[in-house]
Amino acid sequence: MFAVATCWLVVSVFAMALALIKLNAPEFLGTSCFLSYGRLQPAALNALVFGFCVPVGHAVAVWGLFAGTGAPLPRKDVMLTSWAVWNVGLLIGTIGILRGDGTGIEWLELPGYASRMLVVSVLIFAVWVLRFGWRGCNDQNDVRLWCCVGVLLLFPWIYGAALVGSVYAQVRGVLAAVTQAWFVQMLLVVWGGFFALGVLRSYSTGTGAQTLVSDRVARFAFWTLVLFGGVGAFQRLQGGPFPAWMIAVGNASAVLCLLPLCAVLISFRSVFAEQRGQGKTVGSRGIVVSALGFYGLALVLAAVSCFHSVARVVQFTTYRQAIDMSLLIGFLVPSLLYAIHGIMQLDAGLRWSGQFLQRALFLTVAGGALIVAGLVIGGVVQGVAWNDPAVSVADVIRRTGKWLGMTTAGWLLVSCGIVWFAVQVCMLIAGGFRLILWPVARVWFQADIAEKEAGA
Amino acid sequence: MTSRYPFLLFFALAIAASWLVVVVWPHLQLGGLEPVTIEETGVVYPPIRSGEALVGAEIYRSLGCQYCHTRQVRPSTMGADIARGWGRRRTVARDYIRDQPPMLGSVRFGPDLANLGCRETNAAALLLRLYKPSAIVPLSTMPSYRHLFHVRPAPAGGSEWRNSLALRMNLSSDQGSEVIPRAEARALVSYLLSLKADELFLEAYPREDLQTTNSARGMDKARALP
Repeated sequence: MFAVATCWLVVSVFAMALALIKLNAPEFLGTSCFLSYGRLQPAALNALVFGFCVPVGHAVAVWGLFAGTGAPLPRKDVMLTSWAVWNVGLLIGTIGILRGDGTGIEWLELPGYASRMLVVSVLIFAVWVLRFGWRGCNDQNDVRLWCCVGVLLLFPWIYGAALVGSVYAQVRGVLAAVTQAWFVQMLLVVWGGFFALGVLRSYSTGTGAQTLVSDRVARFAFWTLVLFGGVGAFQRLQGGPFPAWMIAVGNASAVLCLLPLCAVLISFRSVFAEQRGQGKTVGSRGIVVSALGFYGLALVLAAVSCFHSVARVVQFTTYRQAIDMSLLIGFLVPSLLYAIHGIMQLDAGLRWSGQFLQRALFLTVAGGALIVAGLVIGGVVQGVAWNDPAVSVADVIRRTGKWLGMTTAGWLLVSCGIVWFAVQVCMLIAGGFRLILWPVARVWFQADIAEKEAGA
Repeated sequence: MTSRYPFLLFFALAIAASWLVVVVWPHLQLGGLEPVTIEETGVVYPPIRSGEALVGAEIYRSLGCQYCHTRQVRPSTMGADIARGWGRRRTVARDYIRDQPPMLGSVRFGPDLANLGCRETNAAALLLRLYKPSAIVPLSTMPSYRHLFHVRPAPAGGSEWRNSLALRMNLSSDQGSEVIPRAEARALVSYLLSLKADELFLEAYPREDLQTTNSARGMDKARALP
């Protein structure tokens, strides 16, 4: 599963880098409509979100639920079926977007014929979670457990509701944009927040850790995130054709989202204080700190854009993309890579090369920083230029171009980090094959040879 | 198993609350919007698009134009959209009630298109922009949509096609050939020309200005009648 998800990650990150290059130089690799920015960017984004982030997030949460109990995973066949349907649907959908069948709704571009497969897969998965998810868990008051269940149950809810509202039984006019904004906000801020609070904290503390002193704070973070996180979706609609109350509620909610952020940070601070002096695994603290840093940065950038003077500059610029990419590439991708590292190491009993992993994670985080910095600065430059009617369109593009170049460099750096990581995953899988499958195969071959010799 | 069901209940309620506020409440407010008839001019707004323009909307979606162009004009207090000539008023929810999906766009790598049909009325210029954007804006980063055109050697007696671009616009790279827009290109241009969000009505304009302006337009229309 992780190998397939890593393949999606490699493909999507390269496609995203290519899309950014095409944005700056549209003649690069020819003028084929399949490789135009308008198709490549949504295809890459969907592959990244639905091919890597969501399945790996779910896999890590499932592992988080069952790791402590030591119980085997019930009905693996159901999970594998759901996963296979998901990947086939996504592959068909991604090709569909490149062919021009995308829905035109950002983040939900997968064509109807493909997203139906994803919905079926999600429903199978949701039933599995409700049926088996909490079996054998001793402490059901543990916030980490809540977060794991939250990660698993939230996605089917929001994806189903968003598809019904904006694709299948499409609501009228701008309401489709409202539903889409709710989906993206819930996915990045709330789903990602659960991941930070539950799953990531499990890795930073060790899976066997008991309930922590900061659980009360973590519970506060959990519930405030659920309440305020989603409503912050209105803030994404700033400047658009929406009633003023929506934007006001969105702005208030974006500021209130700083409360769960502070609680998450306090919760981690106490975890780190407990850990002081204990041995740590490769880059564990650095990666958790940088991931949380990106998560916090995104929420702070969103809160800052509530101010009128900032909003009038950054609306409809790459600033909003910076917030999303900070959550996606700065926070989710490195945390999920780190979680994959933890699970593959523990489950297969294999050892990662520490240096390899550190380099991969460093390149990913450094690339993420370049992407976010390029988009933030580029967004401000772009907004200032658009707000000056004396600046021509060509001049706006020229001024923004160099910052988009910085973002492209960031994507290339992330690509290098991901390839580095994928090589390590391949080596681990090959090592696992050598350790587990090869002895079985050798015994089988030897038995076969012995049979033939006896026959002769 | 003590806290499983209360947790699930509270969790579902909390998510449902966010869904109700963000998705259902706006639906209750905006879901019932209907086209408005402007009394002074008799115009029903927003108008129904022609079949060709609807096909063009599908091509606009398929090519992903909304990833570089927005279709939403901000009020003058929020930016220079109106000063740039992208519209004479902010866009409102009613402007999009006939659009499925609305394709508002979220980032501007190019100009806003909400009122492209008001500021550009020349179909040939739009076709040329699609065929070779750099011919209109040097250093433009807009990709060329050449697959929407036929390119063939120009006949000796001149092109019989009204929209043949290369001959009319004298593109140096296409000398000796004529560029004929396919049906998709014509549909896309038809859609772009239909993008108009300039009618003034209640929620789009302050009441006193609305009456003054629409009365003036009604009088203009009456004067224009034979």
